[in-house]
Amino acid sequence: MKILIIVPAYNEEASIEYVIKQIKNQKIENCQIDIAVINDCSQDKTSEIAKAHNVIVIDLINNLGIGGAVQTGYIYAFENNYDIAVQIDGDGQHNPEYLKSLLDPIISNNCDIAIGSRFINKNNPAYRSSFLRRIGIKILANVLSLLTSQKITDATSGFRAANKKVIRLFAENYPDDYPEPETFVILYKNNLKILEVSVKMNERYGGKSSINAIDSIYYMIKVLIAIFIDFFKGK
Amino acid sequence: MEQLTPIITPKFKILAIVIALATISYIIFKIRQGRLHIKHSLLWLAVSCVMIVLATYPKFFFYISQQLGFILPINALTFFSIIFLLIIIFNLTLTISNLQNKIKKLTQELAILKTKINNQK
Repeated sequence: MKILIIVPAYNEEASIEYVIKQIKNQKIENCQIDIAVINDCSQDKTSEIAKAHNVIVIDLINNLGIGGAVQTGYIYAFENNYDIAVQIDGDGQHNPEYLKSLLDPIISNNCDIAIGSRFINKNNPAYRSSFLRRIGIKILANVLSLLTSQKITDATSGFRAANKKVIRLFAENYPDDYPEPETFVILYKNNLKILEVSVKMNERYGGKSSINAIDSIYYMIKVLIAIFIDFFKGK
Repeated sequence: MEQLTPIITPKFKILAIVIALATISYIIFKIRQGRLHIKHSLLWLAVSCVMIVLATYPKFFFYISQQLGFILPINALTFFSIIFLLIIIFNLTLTISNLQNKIKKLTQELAILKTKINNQK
């Protein structure tokens, strides 16, 4: 099986090397694993560092934001006929040790997309993000659970593995900014099976998060509106 | 019917018409330079023509504004101008979104093509 690991990165020179090394440490039987770093027009050395580690580096000449960058990865996976695409953020929040847990349900055909969740296992002690952010995620998760008639616990997780059907869908249709919560609705509308898998996430390995306090209010409003519009617009 | 008292002086009438004509020539100049699409220019040409008509026959507009229930014609003018501007601005936002999508697709395609070429080397 051909697997593509999509690593969106914007100014992640502090963490990208660590992330690539961690991914390379993972061995999955009978699978060819390629890493594609999508460099979203970083001003720092992200691209050079990634190239030095002999991975596929896709340099965007305009900054497209996380949605456009991740979608580029899916388009690349689609055009090069990958069986599975996995998203792992370039900031080190997603622990590649869970790669196998995400891939297993896809390989055994239990679901179309496996999404790493910090909250599905209540005893999960690792990094769960700040208090306010948790409330935001909780609200989004409840709204999404209601709309998709399925229990969703981690609405903002960008740590996911997708099969060919999802790759084709995302290559064509992927939301722009703050895309994760919206994708649940898009997947549901296209009758694709979502499965949440328990993972632990780390605090950022280096660099700074791209979302601050005022942005989060904008984020919640924008995402909620987008979710409802997606839900009512049909396929 | 209450007596309508047009307050457009001949001086102002000429000024308005001159501005409108200058606008029309400037738009045509820009089209000939190839810097304005005809599609986008029609709207502005229409605005200039409406301006000429209003300046030439102010009584006509006074009458309409009164029929629509405006107490002062100037209120009608402001009201319609703002609505018209909002429509234009909204259309511009539509265009921006459209362009944004196109730029996104171009950027993605270009990046993937470049990667492909580098891989072949």
